[in-house]
Amino acid sequence: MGSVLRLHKEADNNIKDWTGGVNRAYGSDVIEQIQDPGGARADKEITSIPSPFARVDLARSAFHYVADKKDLDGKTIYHKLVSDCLDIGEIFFNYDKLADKLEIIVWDKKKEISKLENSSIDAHQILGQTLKMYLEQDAEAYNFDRMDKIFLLRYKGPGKKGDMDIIGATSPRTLFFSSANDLAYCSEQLRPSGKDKPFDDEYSPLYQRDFKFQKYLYALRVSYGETKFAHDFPEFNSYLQESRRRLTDEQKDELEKMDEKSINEFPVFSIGSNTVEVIGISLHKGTAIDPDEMRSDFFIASNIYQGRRPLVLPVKTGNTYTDLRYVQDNWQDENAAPYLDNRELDERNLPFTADRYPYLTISDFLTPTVILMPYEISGAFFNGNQQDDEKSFLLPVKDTFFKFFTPKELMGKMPDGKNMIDMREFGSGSVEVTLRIPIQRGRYIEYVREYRKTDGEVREAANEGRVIEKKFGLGVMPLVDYAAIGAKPFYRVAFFAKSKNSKLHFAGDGACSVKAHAIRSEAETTCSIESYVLEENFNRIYVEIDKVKNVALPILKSYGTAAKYTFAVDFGTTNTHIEYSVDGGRASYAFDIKSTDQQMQRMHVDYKSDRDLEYAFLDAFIPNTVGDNDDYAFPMRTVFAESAKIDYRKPTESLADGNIPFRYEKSPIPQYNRPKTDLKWSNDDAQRIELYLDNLFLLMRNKVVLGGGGLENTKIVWFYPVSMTKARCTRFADIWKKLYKKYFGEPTKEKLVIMSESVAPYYYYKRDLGAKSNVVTIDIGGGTTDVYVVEDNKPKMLSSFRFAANSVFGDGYNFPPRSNGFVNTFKSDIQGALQANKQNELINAYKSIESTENSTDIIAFFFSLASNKAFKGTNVPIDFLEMLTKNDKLKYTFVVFYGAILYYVAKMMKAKGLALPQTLAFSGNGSKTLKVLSTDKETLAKFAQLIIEKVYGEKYTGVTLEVIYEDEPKLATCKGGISCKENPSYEDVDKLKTSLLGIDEKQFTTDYHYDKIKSDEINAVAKMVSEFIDFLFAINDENKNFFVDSLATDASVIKNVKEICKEDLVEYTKQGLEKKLEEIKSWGMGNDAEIEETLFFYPIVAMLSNLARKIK
Amino acid sequence: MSKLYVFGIGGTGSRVLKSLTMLLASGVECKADTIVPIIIDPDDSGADKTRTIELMNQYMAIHSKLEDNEGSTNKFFKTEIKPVDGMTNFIFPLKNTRNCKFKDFIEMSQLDKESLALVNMLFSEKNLNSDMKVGFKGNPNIGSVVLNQFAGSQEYKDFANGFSAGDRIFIISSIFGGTGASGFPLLLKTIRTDKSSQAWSIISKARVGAVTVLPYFNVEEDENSGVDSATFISKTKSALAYYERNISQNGSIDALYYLGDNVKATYENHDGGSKQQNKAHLIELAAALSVLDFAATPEEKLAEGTQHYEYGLETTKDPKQQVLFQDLGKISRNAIQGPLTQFILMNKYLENSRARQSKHQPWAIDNKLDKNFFNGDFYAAVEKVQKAYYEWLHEMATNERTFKPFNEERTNPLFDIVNGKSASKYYPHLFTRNYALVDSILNTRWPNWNKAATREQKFMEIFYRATKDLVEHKYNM
Repeated sequence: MGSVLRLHKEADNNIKDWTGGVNRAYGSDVIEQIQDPGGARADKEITSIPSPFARVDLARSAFHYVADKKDLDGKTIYHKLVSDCLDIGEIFFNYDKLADKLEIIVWDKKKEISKLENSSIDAHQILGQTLKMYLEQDAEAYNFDRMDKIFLLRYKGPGKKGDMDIIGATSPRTLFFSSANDLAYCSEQLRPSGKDKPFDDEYSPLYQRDFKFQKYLYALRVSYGETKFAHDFPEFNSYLQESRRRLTDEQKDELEKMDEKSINEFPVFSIGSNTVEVIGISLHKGTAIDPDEMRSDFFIASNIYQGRRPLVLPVKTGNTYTDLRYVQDNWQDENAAPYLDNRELDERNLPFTADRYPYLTISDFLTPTVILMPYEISGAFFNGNQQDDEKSFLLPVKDTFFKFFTPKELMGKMPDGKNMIDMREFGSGSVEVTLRIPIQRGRYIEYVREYRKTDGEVREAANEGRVIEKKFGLGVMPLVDYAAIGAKPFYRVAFFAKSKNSKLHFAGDGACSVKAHAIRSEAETTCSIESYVLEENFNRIYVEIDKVKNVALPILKSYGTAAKYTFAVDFGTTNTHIEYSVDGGRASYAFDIKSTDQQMQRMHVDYKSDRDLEYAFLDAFIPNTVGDNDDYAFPMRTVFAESAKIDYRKPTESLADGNIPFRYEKSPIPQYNRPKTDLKWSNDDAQRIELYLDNLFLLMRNKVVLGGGGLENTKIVWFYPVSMTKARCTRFADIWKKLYKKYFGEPTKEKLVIMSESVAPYYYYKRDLGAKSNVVTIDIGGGTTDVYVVEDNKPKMLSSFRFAANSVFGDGYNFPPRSNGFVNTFKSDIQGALQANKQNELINAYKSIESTENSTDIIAFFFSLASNKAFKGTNVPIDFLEMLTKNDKLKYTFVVFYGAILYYVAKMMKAKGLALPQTLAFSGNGSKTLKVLSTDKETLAKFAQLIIEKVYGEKYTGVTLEVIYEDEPKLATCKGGISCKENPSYEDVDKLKTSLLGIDEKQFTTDYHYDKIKSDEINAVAKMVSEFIDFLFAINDENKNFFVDSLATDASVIKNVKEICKEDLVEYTKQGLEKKLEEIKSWGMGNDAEIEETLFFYPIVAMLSNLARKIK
Repeated sequence: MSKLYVFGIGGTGSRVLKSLTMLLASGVECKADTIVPIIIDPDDSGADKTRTIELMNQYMAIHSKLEDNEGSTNKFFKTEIKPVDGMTNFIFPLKNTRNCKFKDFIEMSQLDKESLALVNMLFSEKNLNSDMKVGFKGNPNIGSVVLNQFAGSQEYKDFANGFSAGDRIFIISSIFGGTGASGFPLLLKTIRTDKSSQAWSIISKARVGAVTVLPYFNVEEDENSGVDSATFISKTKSALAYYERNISQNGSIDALYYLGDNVKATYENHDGGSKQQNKAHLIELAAALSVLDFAATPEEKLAEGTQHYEYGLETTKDPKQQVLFQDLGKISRNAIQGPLTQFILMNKYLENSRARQSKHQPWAIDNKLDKNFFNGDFYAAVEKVQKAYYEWLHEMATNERTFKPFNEERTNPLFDIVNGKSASKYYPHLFTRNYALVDSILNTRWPNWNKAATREQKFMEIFYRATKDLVEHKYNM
């Protein structure tokens, strides 16, 4: 240690007293030698420079120190100062990118000093004088004399501290200098390039910065003149030189090529009328990245997106992505994109570089809230790779995701085998969702969000998700990828929400509009009943509940289209049947829905205690399965449940505004539905029929599509009653054609086959039951009876009349339903049996049917009980047919009923000169009641033979009359329709069509019009019926009390029966005619219409009802 | 008859002024006839400042009683110390710094946007919010504005009006603190450029010297304090670079004295105020010597251009050891050892109650130095100065680097008091020792001179002559 009282060491130690020895001021040599025990690491800012421009000097010192030490990567306070100054330089350079967060304030030396000096405030004068004094006195050291302006950067972005956050400015000595304040608060907001974060503790030397910025500084130097630059900015210049040495050879070569004009690659930096300059050197700025020239490994890897590819950025720090190129440089490990950016995609600046370029982050893909459903998800919908038997989640994926990826991709995997999405449940009902977004080079960005049950606010910006629990039912019908099979889509989407403010939206590759949205019932105490009708392809469903929107992905499947389906549809008055066969096979089957071709695919396996959701599917759509072994099977009741709110003046859709209620006669009718029966001959809107048939068509079409059938190969046979006029029949045919066209394609004669209801059963009996050559088929339905006569295998006659099962069980024309004989006779027994078996649901079903006061519906219900699966196995089975069989009084109505039919048929055949028939083949649901007459076919044949022989006035000789019928007689029509190879045309059938007018034994209805019917004719009909009653009872009398002995009727009332049968026949005829005219009118025809059928049965309809009421 | 205006800026300025006053009180030679101290320190309550002012006021009181004394050889309190006319307590008053933040001082809220932006750029939030009551807490950049109240002030005018051709200016400041570091360049710039006074042409060309004191002590670490000695060195280095460019190179200073020490004591950390009372230090003594050196530098030498000086000791021994007189350079040693020893002998003699009890001594009786005299104001002032002198010595002796020329605590035997120097026999008085010897010398050597002299003058003359005699004979100084 020397004896001179000083801090530095290497100097003359021979100095004694104040005798000189130093011949100049302490300069850098001395300053260098002064050892700083605190090091230059001191974190407190150096402020010991006695000048208001201390900060300018400190920047100068810092550049000097760092360049002089040739250590650019140190950690001293000087390195921090240099780094901060370069940050300011880079912010100026990238001003355009950051302009929304910054303002440049221009301090004009002359103007501002003068303002201060002339201020009325003393302190301002002092400030002005001081600044002026230092600017003058220290001019040489800092180029103050050549400085006209200082350009100051004011930060005004997020987190600003006040209205005047000045972060840095231009410096006449080092080009830029920074504020002494801790600027970390605006660090994130002002990242000029992806690499460096300004003002942080990671000091960044120039050579490690954005090379574009470096080039700019060197270009500035070259353009100014290197010697001049070195003179005016010596410390900065030395630093540039030191920095340059550390560049790669490539970079050095690039700098080597620069000349004075290189600076022109960068636009001059102007603010208003001011060019931003430092002692006369104009500063320039970096051009914004040209989006077309963007190169990045973070481009989204999408196969479908057509626009400018956005970047997908990680939201977690770490080195997972540091080998990938971001914008100029690789992604930095401390970088993490914000969780949420509220700007439009095109309005976004990239984080850390501020380049205007679209990027995506987690909240663009994942919703803030996920909906939990307390039901197990079915295989029909994608479960997000989350497995739970108790509950399931919707997919918290936003629509933006699907701009880039398909639902199929979401269900798929990444190149490394990981799922694109994973949902992992934790805790109770919380879920962690991981979404992997593919980027370039086979990589992906992994986004993870935890959703928890919380009552708090959604904090999307903090990546905190929320779980809410909601209950609803959802199903898609059918679950078919129509785009894949190239067919027009017809979808029904069932939605039953238990929350108000629930809605579905659909989307596919293209726009997907909802054709119709029917709400039969709003969510109240039970779920809503909603149906979405879509005729466009979709691949995802957005479920929106209480403003939370999640996605449900149905797993749509495609099937083959090679199979050929044939359907025969027997749209009956009371029952309807569909039979089908595949690929022309001999076997045919009643229409069914198996678990393998389930038409409505529900999202959930079951709804546990939420029975309302389960019932909603059944009541408003269809059961999962339909078939022989199910609760629900064809043939089934012809009934249509339409919405209580339906308005036929507006467009309506089946399975939306109404549907076939498979639970009819089995369960009570829900409030929102109005079941309608008697569709076929209804006087009401014809649109209901169309809607009903539309429903049948949808079922058939779905069957075809799900069964791998070709739509255009599908054949549909439908049946018309001969009793319909041609005009009416044509209108029916139009509906069928329209529906065929809608669902299957252009209808040709071969594809859409129209067949007479009368003819079809013949083919069945002929082919399957070996009917002889002279055959009469009598098909007794609910509303019509069709008769077809074939002699020597040739069609000879055909007739159809509105006299069938309903004529027996109905209320005539205007008898009060409450007095219906059948209902009143059996009601209490049946109710008792239901109660005994505790069939509450059936009791309720009965009550709702009874409330319609339609006797035929009630009787149909009675009949349905025998085939009710739920009821079959119980202790007290109810077989209504058997009950009828045992009632020997009411049996008279059946004697009269069948007697009338046989009498009329025989009369007609005789009038046509046809031979005695050998086979009487009965079909149709109505013919089931043949068993009421007798379970012995020979007895039945005898009854028929007696009638035919008496009409013909001749006896069967050598041959016997045979009666055949089916246990399921309804099927004969359809089966015949399917197997028929030589379907007679309408015209041929029309020629065979025969009807006696009903006034005598000769007069046919040919060319007879309704307006011709006057009182003479009416009286004649009544007379003929009266004669028939005499005829019928004569058979009994003439054949040893045949009714009582062979058919087991009650002998005590027989006279009474005959009397009742003769009551009011004229009146009944009139009533029948009026009813007919009303019906005709409702079909748009006048009284001049051709007569469709015989008038013979008109009085008998009322007679039978009257008989049933009175017979006791 | 030249005057030397000595600006003492900040705490260091006051402490060096104190050392200077001590030297002058003990009779160290000063080439200037008059020293005009001016204290610039916004720290109103600074203990260093108040101690110095008090001392200088005592000095003035004593000096004023000793003037116009024909035939006197006394050098105690010889050089005149006096304030600028119109200045109270040597203080250059600074306005509006009491309980005032810098941002309020400059009335920042009233500034235009542009100037507001500049101020926000140049000064940190900490700068703007610093309370200037106790100086600038190591923020000389704000000091450079606040202290700039010279120009146009009445006090500056008073200073200028009293300035004559041939008068010189000396500025004392530390480089690592706040007030001194900023006040120095600012004052210098003002002296060179201010044209508000009529005397500006003389002043702007006046010879200006300055001592800039580099770090020589540390302060205890204190998170809450604005003073952090860890930054002393880095601040010093920055400021030195600034001085090089903006003080030396532009020729605005004529002589610049650098001083500092690597051996450092650690002081308690006080931002300022009444607690900032640092012990006197050898460095301050050396700084005081630079004032005297500047006063003695001939005009011709200064005309050569800016002179730069460092201060060297004679010794090369371990700096942890005590510095004694013989460790000083010859010039310093010769200049101060005699006067300081004379003054300590006088101190010891008066201190150890000999004076009052010696009223019966001939030197007292003959000169009418009776009870009234010893109870009077003059003697009280002498006692106070002596007490301060003792403290000053004691502080230096217990500081680091340690300057301990005396065993100042020791009272007996008196002549063992000079460290490193054994007292010689005084032949005429071989048998009189210790305080008796002093009495003896006082009695025999009291001067036969101007009978018209006042008692105060006689008292001082007797003691000066006696101690000089003793110093010469006992220590060969």
